[in-house]
Amino acid sequence: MNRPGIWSELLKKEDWWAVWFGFIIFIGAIFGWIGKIPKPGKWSINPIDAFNIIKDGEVTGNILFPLLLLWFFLGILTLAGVKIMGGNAKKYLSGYTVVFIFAVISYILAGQFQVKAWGLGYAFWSLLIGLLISNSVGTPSWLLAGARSEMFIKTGLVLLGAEILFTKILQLGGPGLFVAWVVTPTVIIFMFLFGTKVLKISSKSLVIIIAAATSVCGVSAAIATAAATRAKKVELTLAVGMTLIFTVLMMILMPPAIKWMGMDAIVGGAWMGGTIDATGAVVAAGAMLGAEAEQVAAVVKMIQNILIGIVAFFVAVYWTTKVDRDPSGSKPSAMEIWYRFPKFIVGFVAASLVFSFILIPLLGSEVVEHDIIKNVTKSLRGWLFCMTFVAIGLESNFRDLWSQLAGGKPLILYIVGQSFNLVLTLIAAYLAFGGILWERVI
Amino acid sequence: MKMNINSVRHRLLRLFIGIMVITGLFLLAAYSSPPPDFAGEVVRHNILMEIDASPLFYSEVENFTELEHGLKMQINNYNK
Repeated sequence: MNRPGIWSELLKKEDWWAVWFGFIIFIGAIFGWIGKIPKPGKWSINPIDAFNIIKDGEVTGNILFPLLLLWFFLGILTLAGVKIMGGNAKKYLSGYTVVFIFAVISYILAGQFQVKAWGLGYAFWSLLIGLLISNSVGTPSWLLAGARSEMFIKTGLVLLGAEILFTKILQLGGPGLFVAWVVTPTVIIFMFLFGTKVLKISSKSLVIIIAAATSVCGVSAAIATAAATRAKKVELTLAVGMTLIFTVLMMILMPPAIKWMGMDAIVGGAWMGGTIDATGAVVAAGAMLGAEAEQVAAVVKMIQNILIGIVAFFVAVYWTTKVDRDPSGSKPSAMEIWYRFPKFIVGFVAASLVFSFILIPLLGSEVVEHDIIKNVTKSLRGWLFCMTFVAIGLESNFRDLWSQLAGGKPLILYIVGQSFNLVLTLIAAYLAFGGILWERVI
Repeated sequence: MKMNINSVRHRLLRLFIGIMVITGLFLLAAYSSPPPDFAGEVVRHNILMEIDASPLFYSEVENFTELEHGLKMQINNYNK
């Protein structure tokens, strides 16, 4: 088999470019060369307010010029990779600019005060905008050239690695780890087996995306596993759509149900933290049960969020060694496995380890979490994910989405998997936070 | 040629309908009252307490550090 040499692969593969982009951004953030990344803010009546910079209740400026700089910075950075990988620079820049504008519109829609209360974030609006274009006027080829969803997603995931801080996993001691880290892999394995063996869904990547989204942390886990398994865009669109809808439903229904059952607030908080897919919805639902339950729910969810790195790594290994392997062929060699392994996962895991075990001890958690992650990498990752969803929408059409639904099997998988998750997490929350396996910590 | 014009009209009509649907959805979420009783309880609470329910990941939650500190203090107080 003819394969590019190691050096050529480092420059020609999108996976490696995601790592280079990610680490360029990390270096810029660590040395303070990249300042605070702008993002349209919260507004209530007038959408123009989203562009205002507000300090102590006063408008002190606007983010239009910083947004222009961001467009330029991301455009130039990614253009270098696109050009070396053989892309058309002019077409890429035109398409990228429109994708960026759609991302800005998505952030503005998501920034409305009451829309935030419903939990409809940028992922929802950017996906809708992309789907609107592709399913009405169609996505022109020059726009598709800028909709580099794979490149945005992988770079975003390398940046997400910085937010996976292993130093945080013991904040709730054994009980937190038990609820977040014992139930989650069990649910993933159950859903994978149920989807492939019982429902016989032909696409294993669709099954694992839905399983990871349901059990780990919704959209972010769906993105990570979709990229690790090289899933079709339409599969990610379907999984994300289902996750977003069910997250809102669970946020609305779980707190009244817990109150109605007369459940202990801490157990209820841990239960919601382990089951509701997105952290924002977890915090909102937890707050309904009081401050302590909100804190427990949020921290259980955070511990579960951190699992995303491990899940993505093992899913990538499983896919490389088992699913993508030729069943009639011999066992793949270590070189073969390395060749097929999605390299951005290496960057993702490396970023997590470097931030957790080198940068935090070296610079302190305040500097790392506030100056580097909050001000730079998290916001840039948000922009890249937002552009990913615009791009995925632009590449998906309703006909393909409908065919993926395959008689409602993915929906059945989600509902059965989430029900199993709810039962198992409830038992785990009682055992861990109800004073049964451990003495109560709170 | 006539076919092309019809096709363009059809696509533009779909775009217009799509924009109307998204706008309608946005206006519904942004300006309508949350549903009554338990179905709107969480959203009403979010509006009242200015809680952002949209973050996907823990690091996107504005007051996450305060939540972590709050929990640490609760655990310390409980152990005392």
